[in-house]
Amino acid sequence: MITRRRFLSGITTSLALAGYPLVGQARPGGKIAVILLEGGMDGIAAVPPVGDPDLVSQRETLVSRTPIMLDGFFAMHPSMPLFADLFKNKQASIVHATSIPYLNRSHFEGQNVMESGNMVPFSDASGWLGRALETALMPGEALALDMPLILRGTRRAESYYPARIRGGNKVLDPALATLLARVHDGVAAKSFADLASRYQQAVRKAPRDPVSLAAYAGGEMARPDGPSAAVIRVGQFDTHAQQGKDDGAHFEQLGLVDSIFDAFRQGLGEMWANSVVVTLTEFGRTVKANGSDGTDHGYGTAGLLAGGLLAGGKVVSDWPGLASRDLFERRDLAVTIDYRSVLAACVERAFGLDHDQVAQQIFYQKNLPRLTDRLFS
Amino acid sequence: MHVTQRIAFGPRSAADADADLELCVAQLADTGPRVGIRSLADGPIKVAPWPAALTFSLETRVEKARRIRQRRESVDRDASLNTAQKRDKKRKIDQEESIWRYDQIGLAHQAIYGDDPVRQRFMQFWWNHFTIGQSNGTRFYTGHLYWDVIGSGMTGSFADLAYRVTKHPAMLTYLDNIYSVEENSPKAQKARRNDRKIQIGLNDNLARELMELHTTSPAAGYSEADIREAAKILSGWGVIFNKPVKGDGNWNGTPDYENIYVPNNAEPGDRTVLGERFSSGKGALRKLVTFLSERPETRTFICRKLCLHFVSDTPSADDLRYVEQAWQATNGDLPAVHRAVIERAFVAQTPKMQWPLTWLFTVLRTSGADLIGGWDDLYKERQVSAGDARARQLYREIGQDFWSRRQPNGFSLHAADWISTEHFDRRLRLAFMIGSKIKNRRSVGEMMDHLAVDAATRHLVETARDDTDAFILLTCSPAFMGL
Repeated sequence: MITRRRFLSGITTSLALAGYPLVGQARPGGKIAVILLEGGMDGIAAVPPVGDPDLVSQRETLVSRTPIMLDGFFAMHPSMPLFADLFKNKQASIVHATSIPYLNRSHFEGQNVMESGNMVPFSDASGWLGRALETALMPGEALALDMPLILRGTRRAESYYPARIRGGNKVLDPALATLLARVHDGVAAKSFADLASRYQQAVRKAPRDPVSLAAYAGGEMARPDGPSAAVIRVGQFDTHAQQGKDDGAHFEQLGLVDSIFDAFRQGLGEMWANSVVVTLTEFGRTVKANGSDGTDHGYGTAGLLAGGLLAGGKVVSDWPGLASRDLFERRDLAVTIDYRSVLAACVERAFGLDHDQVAQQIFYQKNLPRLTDRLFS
Repeated sequence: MHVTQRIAFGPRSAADADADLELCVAQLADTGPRVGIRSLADGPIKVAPWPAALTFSLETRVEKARRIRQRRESVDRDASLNTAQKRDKKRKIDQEESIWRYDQIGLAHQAIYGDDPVRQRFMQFWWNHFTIGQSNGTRFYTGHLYWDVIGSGMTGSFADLAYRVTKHPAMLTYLDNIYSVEENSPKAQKARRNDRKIQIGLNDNLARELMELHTTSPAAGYSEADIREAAKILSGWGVIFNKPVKGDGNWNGTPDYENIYVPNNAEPGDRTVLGERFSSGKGALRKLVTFLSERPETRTFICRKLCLHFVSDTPSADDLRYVEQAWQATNGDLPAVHRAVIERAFVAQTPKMQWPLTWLFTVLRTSGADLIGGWDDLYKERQVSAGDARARQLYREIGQDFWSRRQPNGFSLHAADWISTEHFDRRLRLAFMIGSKIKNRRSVGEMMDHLAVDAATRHLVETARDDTDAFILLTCSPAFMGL
C-alpha cells in the first residue's frame, strides 16, 4: 500500500476532456475515454495467453505465477483484479495480438502516430479523437497542462490542470485575459479568451493523481452538458529493466490502470452504460526478456476495453502463437488485428458515425476492417 | 523581440539592451565563477560566488546517491520506529543527502544573476537534447552533466560532447545501459556454465536513443540490426552506480565514474553499424559516436533543432543552410556552430516562442525581482520574504522540471506544444504573484525601454489600471512571450 501511494505521488499525469455540445445541436449520447499508456505496454504480461504452449519457454522470468483465468486460454495479470471482475460481468473485453500498424519501434514516432491516427509520423497537426468529435459535431475542450495531439483538430479547445502556485487559487481579473486575447493571434488568442471565461466562473477544484483525475473525468462526462471524450495519460510503461512477473514496475503500472478503469466506472455512474473506456499504447514489447529482466520495444500487444456499450466478456483475437517461427521478425508478438479497427469501432458505436466515414476521414484508411460487431454485439 | 530574448534571458540593463554580437559570442567561452545568492531574508540581496561546498564532484554525487539509498533502507528496516518517526528520519536524511536540490537553485541563480546568460541558454539546449529523466538516482548526477560535462564540452566538437555524455553515469543509468550484458560475454558464459537463473542479455535502449535522438535521427535509415550492433558496442559501459561496489569483473572499483567499462559484460568481436566496421573493446564506443556524429543526417537534424530553439519557430532555408555550413566547415565544432546560430538570431524577424522556463528566467532577469530563494533558504520551514519561492516547485508548476521522470525526447521545441489555456494560466498567475508581491523591482517602463518593445506593446501596457496589471500585460504580451 505504501509502495502504491509513493508511486502515485511521484507520477506525472494529465487529463484532457473534450467534446462539449454545440448549442442547438443534437448529439449521440455515447462517451469515449482513452487511457494512453506511454512507453509501450507489454500485452503478454497484462493478458498472458496461458494456454499457449510456448509462453513459459519464451519468457519464463516474466510470467505471473498467479494469473486470473479469463477463458481457458487467456488470463489476466493479478495486478488487475477489478478489470477481471468487469470482464466476468461482461462489462469489459480484450483485443489481443493487436497494434496500430507502426513498425519502427520508436516511442516518439509511435506516440505521435497513435495520437494522430495518421500512419506517417509527425505529418498531422490534428488527432483522431479530435477529428472524430469534429465529425460528430462535438468540438472540444481539453483539461490538460498541454493540449494533447489526440484531441487537436477541434474548433474550440481549452485545457485545465489545477495550479499549485502560491496565490494560485486567487481569482484573476478576466479583463486582463481579454486584453491579452485581443493582442495575441491564433491559438494563443483563443487560449487567453478561454482563460477570460474561466476567470469569470468559480474556481474549479480537481485532484491531480491519475486515479482521482479519472473519477473526476467520469463525473464531468456524466453531467448533461458534460464532455463526450476524455484522455488520460499514464507513463512509465517502457520497462527495459526489472519488469518483474508478480511485482515490480510493470505490476505497479498495471495496478494503476486497473484503478483508473474502476475510477472511470465510479465517476460515470449511470452513464457507464453509454460509455467505452479504451487503452492505447504505441507498441508491445519483445516476447523474450532482455538482459535486465525487462523487455525491449516490440510490436503486438493487447488492448483493454470496458464500459456498458460493449458486448463484454470476450477476448477478441486471432491468436498467432508464441513459437519463434510465429513471431514478427522472430522477436515480437505478431499483429493480426489492426488496432485502428478497435478505435474506429468505438467511434462508430459511441458517436454514431458510419464506419466507412470513420475509416476514411479519421484514419485515412479506405479498407480498414470493421470490428464493430465483434466488440459491440 | 529583443535578440537577447532569443539567445539569452533578456536584457538586464541598458548596456545589455545595446546587444553586441561579439560580446554575446564571447559569453560562450566565459568560464568565470558561478554565482548565486545566500538568502532572501536580509533585505537587498547580494550576488556572491557560488560556494565551493555546494559544488559537487561526480564522486560526491555517486557517494550521496548510494548513501541516501542505504540510509533510507536502514530506516525502513528499523522495527523500533513508528510511521511518523520513520517519516521524520527520512526527511532529515533527504535534507542531508539530496544535493541535487542545490543544482535546482543554482540553475536559476546563474540564469538570473550570472554574466553568461547566452552560455546558460546553450547549455540548457544541450541538456535537453541529451535528456536525463529521473530514474534510479539520476537526479544526483544530472547537475554534473550540466555544469561539468556540457559546460566544458561546449568549447569542443559535437562528437566529443556526445561521447562524453553517452558514457556519463546519468545517461548509462537513465537509458538502462548499466543492465546490458552481451549474450556471449564472459559473465553470460559463466552464468550459463553454472546454470544460474540470472537474466543475461542486451538492453538496446541507449543504443536506440543514441541514434534516434542524440545523433543521426531516423533519417539515417538504420535497421534493428544496426541498433543491436550499436548496443553490443555499448555493452560493458557502466555499473549500477547507486549500489555499493562489490567489484564486478575486471573493473576494480576505481572511481573514475565517467570511464567505467566492464569487459566481463561485453563480447569480443567486430561490429558493423550502418555499414561501418568497429573493432571490439572499450575504444569502439568513441569511434561509433564519432562516426554517427559526423554523418550528414546528424548535422541536418541538430542544426534544425538549434535554429528552432534560438532563431525562429519557423526557421528559413537560409537559417538552416547558414548553420549547417558552419557545422560542415568545422566538422561540428560547437563554438563555430553556436556563433552561426547567434548570427542568425541577430537578423531574425519571425517570432520565437519562449519555453516556460526561459520565460520565467527572463521575467526575473529583466525585472530584477528576487523570487527564488538562496542556498541558505532551502530548508527553512517558512518563506523568508515576500518572494522566496522554491525552484523545485516553480519548475513543476510551469511544466518544465528537468529533474522529473520524463521521456528521453526532452521538452518540445515546437511552440504549439506550449500554447494552451493551462500554460497561459500558469504564466498569468506567476506574473501576478511576482508583480503584486515583489515591489522591489525595476519599473515596467524601464523594462520596456531595455527590451525596446514596439508601439503595440506600449499601447497594451498603457491600458493597465495599476503597476501589477502593467507587469502582467508586459510579461504576457506577444513581444515578451515571443509569439
